[in-house]
Amino acid sequence: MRGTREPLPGLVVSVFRGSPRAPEQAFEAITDDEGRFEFFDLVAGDWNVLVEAEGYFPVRSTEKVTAGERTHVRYLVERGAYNPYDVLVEADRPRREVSRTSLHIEQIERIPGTAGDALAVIQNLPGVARPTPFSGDIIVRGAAPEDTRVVVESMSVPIIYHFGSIRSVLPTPILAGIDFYPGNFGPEYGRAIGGIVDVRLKRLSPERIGGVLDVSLLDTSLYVEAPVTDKGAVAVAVRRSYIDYLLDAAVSNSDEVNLINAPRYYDAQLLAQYRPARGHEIRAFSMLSDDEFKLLFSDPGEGDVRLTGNQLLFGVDFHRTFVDYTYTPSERFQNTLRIAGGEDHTRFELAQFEFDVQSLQLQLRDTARFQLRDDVAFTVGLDHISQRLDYRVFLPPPPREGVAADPRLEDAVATEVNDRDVHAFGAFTQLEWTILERLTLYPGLRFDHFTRIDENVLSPRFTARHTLTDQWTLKGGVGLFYQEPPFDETDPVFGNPDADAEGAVHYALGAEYRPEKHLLVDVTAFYKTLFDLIAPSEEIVERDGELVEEQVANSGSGRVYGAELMLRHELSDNFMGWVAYTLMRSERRDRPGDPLRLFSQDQTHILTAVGTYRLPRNWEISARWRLVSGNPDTPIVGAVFNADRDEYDPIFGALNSDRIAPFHQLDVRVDKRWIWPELVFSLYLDIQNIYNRANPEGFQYSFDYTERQKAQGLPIVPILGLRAEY
Amino acid sequence: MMRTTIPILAVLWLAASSAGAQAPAAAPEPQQDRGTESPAVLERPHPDQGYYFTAGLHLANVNVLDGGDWVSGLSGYAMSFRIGQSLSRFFDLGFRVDYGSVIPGDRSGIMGSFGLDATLRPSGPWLFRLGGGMGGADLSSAPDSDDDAGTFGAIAALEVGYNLHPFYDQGDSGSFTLTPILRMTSVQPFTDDSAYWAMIGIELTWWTGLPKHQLDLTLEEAFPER
Repeated sequence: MRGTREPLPGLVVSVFRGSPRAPEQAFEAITDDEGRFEFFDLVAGDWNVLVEAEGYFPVRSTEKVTAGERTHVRYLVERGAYNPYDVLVEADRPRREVSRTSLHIEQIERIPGTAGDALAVIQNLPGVARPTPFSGDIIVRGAAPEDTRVVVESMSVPIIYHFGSIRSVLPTPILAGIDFYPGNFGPEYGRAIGGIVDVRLKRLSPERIGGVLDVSLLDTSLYVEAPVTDKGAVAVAVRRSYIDYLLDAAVSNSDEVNLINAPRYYDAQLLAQYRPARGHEIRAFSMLSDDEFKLLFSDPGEGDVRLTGNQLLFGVDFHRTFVDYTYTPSERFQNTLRIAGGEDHTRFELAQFEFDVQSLQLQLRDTARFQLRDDVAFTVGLDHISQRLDYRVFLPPPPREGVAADPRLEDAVATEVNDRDVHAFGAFTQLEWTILERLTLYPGLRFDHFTRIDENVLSPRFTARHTLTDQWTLKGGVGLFYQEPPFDETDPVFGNPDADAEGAVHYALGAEYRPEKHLLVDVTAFYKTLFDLIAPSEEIVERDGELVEEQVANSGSGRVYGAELMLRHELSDNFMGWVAYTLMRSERRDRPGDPLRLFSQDQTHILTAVGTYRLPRNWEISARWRLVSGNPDTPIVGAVFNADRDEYDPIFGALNSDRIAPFHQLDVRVDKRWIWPELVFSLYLDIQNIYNRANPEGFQYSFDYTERQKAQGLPIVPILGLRAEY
Repeated sequence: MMRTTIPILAVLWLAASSAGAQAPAAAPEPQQDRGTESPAVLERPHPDQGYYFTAGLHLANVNVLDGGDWVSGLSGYAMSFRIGQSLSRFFDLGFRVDYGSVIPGDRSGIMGSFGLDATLRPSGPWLFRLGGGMGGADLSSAPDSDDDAGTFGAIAALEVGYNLHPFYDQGDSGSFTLTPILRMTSVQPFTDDSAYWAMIGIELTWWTGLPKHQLDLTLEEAFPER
């Protein structure tokens, strides 16, 4: 086949001489499994060749046959339209969850507004709130961003996007898909009270060397995969941005600012698979990522007299490696053992302020599944993470949700920790019990021990799915979830070392309806109770014989309730898309007895409509429209002049009593493919915010807080990209 | 002092705090979907087929709304360049660039845009075109004034034209085409300012035609006797 070089068996090849309507001679042959065909004893002369097959353009050619010689020909048959789903095979995948959205890379890599970045599609899923631009936050069902975990094949990573949201740290060609759990996830996932985003790596099965080169306005990436004997395969990917080169060329160093390192990022991955024998599989994966941005100011005091240094630096780099071994001796048993390790380094410097955090980590995980009977299966697993932390911080206390005032530079404090070892041990088990072939129960239990907070927690969970008919399924679940507080909340200087785990109870009830094979309607109502949340505290406590400020305590609580609707159309008749709508309310209470207030990222209505339509001649057009309620905002109702600091101190109104105007935006993407003999070449234009809406993202105030103006989000942004697949 | 609602420190603290917590996950089973076949659509030969490359020369009149006040319109010359492909007998899709400047005089100005064009040819030689993308215009607001009135942002365009094929041989695929057009473009910028311009002119297009294997040919046409 033209472009993919795949052999096409079963095609009818006709050869004839003379008039097409009344040929002198005519023969037919059918291509074999390797796409080969042969004709024998053809008389010398011109022969017309015709190949016709449904879904393909015909081949019409005239070949000259010479007496006594073999004539070799090669025809590249072109498809009517190249379907990226061609090579995929449908397979049932058991659903054990109340809510899980699974997306395959081929479905999501051309969604507009993502610039071809598959992981950016997360923001289009039901229950996911719109984050602040460049924050990279994933806000799921009214949970704080730190409550949701993003993992790569069970392996944690410190960041999922370069510089907040520019690009994900994993290129699209190395991914297989994304599993998104907005809540009520099974016991195999832990240490989170929000949601889970599980990124799946590609299962390599290349028949020959192939790859993808992707060039866009942001970066260039290269992916290559190759078979290794008939039992293994390997894939390598690299990517590097060139924003820094463009900025260095376009922005000359001025007297005020010297651009040492404009923002730049790069990442690289290596994936290998090997099946030494039937039932045995070994997989290894390694990745690294590096972000950095550095400025030098000639006179930082001109901006703020409190700054005594002249450098601004931000950098995040990390690497991870895992090796896993899967043993599947029969359909009744499977065991996967994984060892993973890596190192993270996050650093920030602004004049005299800094934080520098380094972490070494080792993870050991084992999961075994037993199919005891056709209707009963049992999973048990162990999960252990060890970390060695080193950090040095000199900053004001971190801003906290629910506190209107920003921290002041004058309040900066220093803390340093060296070689602090922390461990988290987990064990989980889950039963799958099918009753009467249509009702399946999934009771599960998870145990976690956190050494950092010296606490043991037990998390029972239960999910049920009842297939009423081939079209209707009812589902429900309830579960208990725990997570450790972020490390800064348990630091003795910035937080409370006596803090406990935060918890949540998830309730969910829903239904799925499949009127047709390619249509899905999914409705889920959910309710979450949050308890022992970390909240600001003004109490004075005794610690190590001294009276100190408690700073934070597990005094917070909250609730989140709402419903999600997902209408999804899988690729059929050239169209694929979905509409996701979430109606939700997220509330918090900082101390017992306090009234409930809105969570700072509560978004009442979240509507996302995504559609992709495949046009003739290998064109494709996609659109995404979003309508989202604005975030709550705490208004500034006045100001008082502070003579000591020679500036105005704002007077805040009721916390989160106001709301920013709604957000809406239309993104459009157009793709064009050219199918060359051995290459598929693509060009895409992704225009974000095509009608250039000035979406408000907050407010900016004058120095005395008497005037304010809207802080606007991103304007219309075009992104052009080129892609070559071999 | 400007105060924004999302300080950078919040972002950095969140990044740092994520170093202290992880969540493991099981490796799920792979799942894949089957796609659908698309028919290979063959077309009879006609002049507007294949890829197109267009150059146009126009007269343009540009008006800018500056803070609610109209700036007197200016006229000038404009050029357009389009590249794209015919997707069917009735529909084309492609990219477009416009650029123009006013006739030299006591005022100055420029306009330009870049974006997508979708062309509909419902019947006969008439065509209707919709455009979207980005663009802007900038005009001086008074004679010899440095006070420019300008704007930049999203554009929307509507165009009507009439195709002429003076060089077409019957039975060929592709040809040169002359198309007189009238195009209206509006700029919906980030602020309350906006711009509008009208272009009238003529476009010259070269259509590459379709390769033989994509044409709906009889066997006699596909294999002419030698």
